[in-house]
Amino acid sequence: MAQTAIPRIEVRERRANEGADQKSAPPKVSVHDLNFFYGKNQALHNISLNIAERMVMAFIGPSGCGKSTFLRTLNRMNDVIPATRVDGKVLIDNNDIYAPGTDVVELRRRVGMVFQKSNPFPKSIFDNVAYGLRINRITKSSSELSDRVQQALEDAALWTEVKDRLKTSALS
Amino acid sequence: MMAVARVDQMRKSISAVMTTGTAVCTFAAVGILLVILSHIALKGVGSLNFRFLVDAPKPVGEGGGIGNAVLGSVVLLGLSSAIGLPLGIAVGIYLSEVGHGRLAGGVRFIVDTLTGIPSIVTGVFVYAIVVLPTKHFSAFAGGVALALIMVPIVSRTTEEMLKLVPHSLREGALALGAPQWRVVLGVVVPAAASGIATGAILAVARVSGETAPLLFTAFGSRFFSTDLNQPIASLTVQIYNYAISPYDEWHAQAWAATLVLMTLILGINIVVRILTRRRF
Repeated sequence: MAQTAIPRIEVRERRANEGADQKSAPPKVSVHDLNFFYGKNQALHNISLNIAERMVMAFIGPSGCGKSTFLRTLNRMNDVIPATRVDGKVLIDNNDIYAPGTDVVELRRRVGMVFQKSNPFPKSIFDNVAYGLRINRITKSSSELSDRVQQALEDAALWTEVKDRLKTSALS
Repeated sequence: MMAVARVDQMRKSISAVMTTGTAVCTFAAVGILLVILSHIALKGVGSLNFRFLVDAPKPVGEGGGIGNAVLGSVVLLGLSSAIGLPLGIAVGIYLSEVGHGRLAGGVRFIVDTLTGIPSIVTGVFVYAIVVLPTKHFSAFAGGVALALIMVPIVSRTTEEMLKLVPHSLREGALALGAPQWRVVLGVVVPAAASGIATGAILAVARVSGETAPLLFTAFGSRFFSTDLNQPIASLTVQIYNYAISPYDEWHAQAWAATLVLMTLILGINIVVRILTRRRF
């Protein structure tokens, strides 16, 4: 049986405009010797990297090399997949997010995630956009909520398209 | 060439035999159903009129109707739905969304086993835990018995429907910082709502035909009653009592009551069809 090469994440750093201040600043996200397993399959091998605050970082690589798996370790979205295991450390603001007693909901509130595929909830368009604001009780009044929803839809260049059917299902 | 032609001919004749066979079986199955339905309709329609549907039973020879049984069945179905549906849906949510590992596996096994318990056993069980302590038959006991039959049906359909909800939907909500209860109640359950409703209505249709568990619990009654603490009539028990009676008039009424019950169940199934069709 031919041994197929399993694609792996490897960390290479190349910063375009590396500033001196950026280097001295403590990393916002710091990953140490991270291994991740789906059952017996190891998906991530000894990942260590630092991400500074306000830094944009991109992961590129072939399909199945663990890009999404790695991203999902940063807000513990992998917790919801049964039979997975993680070891190593992920520090965000110097707190180990895998330490016992971590509030996972609070973590996900702070570490946002945009998925590859959009997945509208079975609610109205308005309620979909308002979902994050509502569950985190960010807005204080319903008028503020609708302002924020309108702002979000305008920023996404969708407002004129959907403004007359905000109350209809987002799925149709 | 010859060999190929023979193989082809063989294949075609087997295909013809099989097609005929399946067609005959289909007609046999559907035909039996049609015979049952038409027989009930023919036998039942003679005694069916408005007074029959609203009157209370009367002594033999004086007519009377099944109004109390229709009312009783509605009360029993309402009560059992009020107990059984929330319980069953909650168990289904637990099995699909909350429970993992051995405890959930155990619960699932118990639910499956419950589905297979003969309904008369459920009736005897409720007799032991409700009727004996309270020392009398009651509509409440009947409702509990029917609810116990509904729970496993509703919980398994609920579980199946929730499992059809794409995982990405849960993750999308979780990634926004939603706690699990909000994900389940606000996103996952609404996404499966029409399927859950279908399962619930099918469970109601299923128990509306149950007789055995009611014999030991709701018992039956010849009077109009909505008192949950008293015995109550139901269509199925009324049919049973009339069918085993020695009177031709009551036999005719049993046929008519059967027609009413069949129409009721048919109606419920049609509602289910309409609900499921709306999904797409």
